[in-house]
Amino acid sequence: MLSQIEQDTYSRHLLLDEIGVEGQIKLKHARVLVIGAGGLGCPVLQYLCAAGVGTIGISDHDVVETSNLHRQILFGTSSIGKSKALEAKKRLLEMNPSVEINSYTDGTTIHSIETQLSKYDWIVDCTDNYQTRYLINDACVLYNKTLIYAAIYKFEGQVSVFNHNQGPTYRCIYPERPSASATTNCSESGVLGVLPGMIGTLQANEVLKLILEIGSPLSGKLLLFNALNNKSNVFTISKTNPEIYEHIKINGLNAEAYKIHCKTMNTKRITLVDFLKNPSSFEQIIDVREYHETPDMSDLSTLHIPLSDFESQIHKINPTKKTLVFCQKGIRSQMAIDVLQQNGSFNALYNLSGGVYLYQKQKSTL
Amino acid sequence: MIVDVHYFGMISDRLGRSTEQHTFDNSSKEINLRSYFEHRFPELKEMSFKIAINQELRDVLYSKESIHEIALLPPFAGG
Repeated sequence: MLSQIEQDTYSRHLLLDEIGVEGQIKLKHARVLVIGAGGLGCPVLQYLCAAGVGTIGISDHDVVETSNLHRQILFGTSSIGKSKALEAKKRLLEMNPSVEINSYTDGTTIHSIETQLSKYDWIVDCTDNYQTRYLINDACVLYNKTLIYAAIYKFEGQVSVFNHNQGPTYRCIYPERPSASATTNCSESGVLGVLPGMIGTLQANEVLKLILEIGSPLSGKLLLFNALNNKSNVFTISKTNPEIYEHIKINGLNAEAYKIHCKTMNTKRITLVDFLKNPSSFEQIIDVREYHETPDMSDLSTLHIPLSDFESQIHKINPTKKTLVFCQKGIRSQMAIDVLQQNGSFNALYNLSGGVYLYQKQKSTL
Repeated sequence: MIVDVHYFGMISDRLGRSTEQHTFDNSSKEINLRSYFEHRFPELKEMSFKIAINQELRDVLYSKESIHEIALLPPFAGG
């Protein structure tokens, strides 16, 4: 049954033969987990919430930054520095207080994914990194969940539906994680602000179609959209590599498979607490974030070489000095260390665990 | 056989082209397109990508097969 307020709120849905009261009740009973509350996650969350999806989970460990605001439309300047999962929840409840919203501020990890997935019927991948993307894909295979996927690059986006009725998954397109050198995200390559809005809306549309059991979901299909020329292409995906799925089902999730890529195993990591005990022990401190990224850390760094231009400026780095490398979260700094270790005898390289994100978060409490 | 080849995402950036017409001779033998493109553009050896022939994901262009389109599809990281 729908209350009078619900009948008013969803009246334009109720007029559609394909939805009606029955469909709206399906939406009310649906439980959807959105992993990543960034460029894609914001429009997905906004439309699922507005459409009356009854229970929504928001998983994101990140905080809102100024550079997010041109595309992450649930946030404003008052959100900066605050948890994305909590800020999104606050905004969505203003929009539709009848929806139950659960925030997971520690994000989704190999330790939390089973518990998180068990509470939801539909899983939406709005992440911005491959290690989480493969973890979610494999967990959906293991726990038999349909995964609604999207990803973006500059002006282009991909959308698909994976593991739906044991259909193809992300590994049927890309069996193995790309190498670190083949990886860039929005921080490094840039993105047109409206692009995640368009792709995220397509993704939300797939979620609603699946819940309502209408139309043709993109299961076994990969949709590519290019915002520069408005061209859409739909590619057919076949289910391949059955041994991967058998392996996952028999052995479960392997933590090693979802760690940040590290080509060399002798990288030293230093925690923020240990670093701050004796920062002067480092003779060289390299910021590998892009030049536009905030906060400004020039008081800490002695060199600023963005990862996107790292190899051409590698000569600026003295291999004999004890060196700390940092970025926003410790992922790109690891990639920079990989590059250094392949290019010479840098034998005293340290990666700052958690990067600037943790530094900002913890320095007030230290 | 003249075929439209489409390059997406980072591959388009790296190769400096998004689409072109290219001639393939599969009149007497099949062509493994992954090897073919990696030989033509060695930088692809370090990149992850999938090949689609007439919008179907597969690598091999069969002998005497008539097609109109090939796409090179890298994964996207962003969200």
